[in-house]
Amino acid sequence: MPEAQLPKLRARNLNLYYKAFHALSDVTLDILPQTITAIIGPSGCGKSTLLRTFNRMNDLVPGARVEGEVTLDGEDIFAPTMSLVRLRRRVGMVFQRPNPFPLSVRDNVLFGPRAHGITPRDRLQEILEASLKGAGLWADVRDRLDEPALDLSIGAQQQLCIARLLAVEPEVILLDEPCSALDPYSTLHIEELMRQLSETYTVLIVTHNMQQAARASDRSVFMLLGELVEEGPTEQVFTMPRDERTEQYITGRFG
Amino acid sequence: MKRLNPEVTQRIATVCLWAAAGLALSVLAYIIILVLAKGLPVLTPHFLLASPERMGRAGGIFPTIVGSLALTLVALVVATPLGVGTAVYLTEYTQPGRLAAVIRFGVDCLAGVPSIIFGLFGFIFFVIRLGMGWSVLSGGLTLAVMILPTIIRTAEEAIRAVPGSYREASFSAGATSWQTITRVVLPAALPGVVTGIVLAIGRSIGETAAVIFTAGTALRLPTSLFASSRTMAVHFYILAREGLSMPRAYGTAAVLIILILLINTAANALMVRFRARTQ
Repeated sequence: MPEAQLPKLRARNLNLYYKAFHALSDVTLDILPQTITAIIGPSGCGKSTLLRTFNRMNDLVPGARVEGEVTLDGEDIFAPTMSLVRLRRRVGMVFQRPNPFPLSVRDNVLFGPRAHGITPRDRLQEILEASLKGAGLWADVRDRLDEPALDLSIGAQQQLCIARLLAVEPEVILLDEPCSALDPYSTLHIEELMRQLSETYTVLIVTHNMQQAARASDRSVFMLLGELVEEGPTEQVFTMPRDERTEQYITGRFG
Repeated sequence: MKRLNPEVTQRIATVCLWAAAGLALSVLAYIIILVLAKGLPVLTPHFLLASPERMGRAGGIFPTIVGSLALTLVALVVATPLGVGTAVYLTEYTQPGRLAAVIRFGVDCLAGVPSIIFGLFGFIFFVIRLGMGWSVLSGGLTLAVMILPTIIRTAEEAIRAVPGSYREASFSAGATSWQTITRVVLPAALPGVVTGIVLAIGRSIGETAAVIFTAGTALRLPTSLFASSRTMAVHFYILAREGLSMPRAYGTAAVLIILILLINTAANALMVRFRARTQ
């Protein structure tokens, strides 16, 4: 097997509890690099929770407790030696609602690099341009870099959030229903962008839009009630699901 | 009993709310107009810039203006970092639990304590125990203790109102908690924090009871932190109480009110500029 096929992220017997609520039960999963993996399932099935485990965003939730193992390139992300700051630099996240800071376009993109102590002006300018180009936003905002980010359209704001993420040069990009606040045109735009990003990055997307998962992902993970039901190439999951529950869900019999 | 027609209820409610707001505003306007009408006639450059003579019967009030500003400045310099720090601790570093609840309860109790009690505390603690005597420092520190609850609670509310999504975005860009607080949370909360500070300025610059026992009543221009100083509010109180000069008492009050209006206007203008820069 070529080296590129070693899993980027690996979860083994992952259990997560919010106080007494068992949100993830025994999830075992490999995420391949340079691949778009879609996590699908009905609301409350734990798909966002699973996503937020990979950059330990659940640590912010009081009462959340994790058991089991998750590794990034073979490194245990729950190990006491793992620095949260370093983990989140490597595994970045885009949220359901675009959440740019109330700052200029420029300051939004450069937030991460500045937080990591990059100060040379020309280096910051390079990062700014590369990140906005990477997010497909450069042409639209090159003349508006100092305007407030909140003046951008909602779709452009989400692209800006992606640019802000690219600026810290992550390895994995987690997208938590990134299109649910967007119109169909912007959604298409983000999906094309995901395709480009997957050439460089490992992309994980949580979506409850099954058409989106079917058309925009390479592999799909179906979750139900905190359990991983089925995982495989998207085409197989959608055309020849192995599990009856997957078939019922994708054919619209529940969910 | 027949129920009132909702439209009639609405009309009655509108009238009542108008009356309440109108009454409150007219009382406020009456106070300001009264003080200005009685005070403005003595307001001359000499009154503002000269020292008092014959216990305040003649001369100006310059040392008391300096005294008021100096005490307020000391109070702010001490209370702002402490208060904002406490607010950050309460919102960002504690889980909602018993400790936070106890601190918050304590802060609320402190906010309800009458200012004369702070004056007594300042006298016993700063003036006597710490040996600072009647001084700008004692008075300023006493005011700092007094305005701390205002700053803590307003800053806390402002920080709590910052959307959680900003913090998530910051953390997911690999920023530390400290960077998140200083670069994202506090700038977003700044308008609210400044509102608290402006309220605190208003409270301390017009305070009488808390400073009369701690900063003293000396009429000289305070030249150091350890000099005793009389504030405008105390000067007003003494002029009126001792019957030294009612016109000059009102003149002092007018200066005090105008100063507070100026400070509030300046703070507002500052906020508008800040918002224009960030949004």
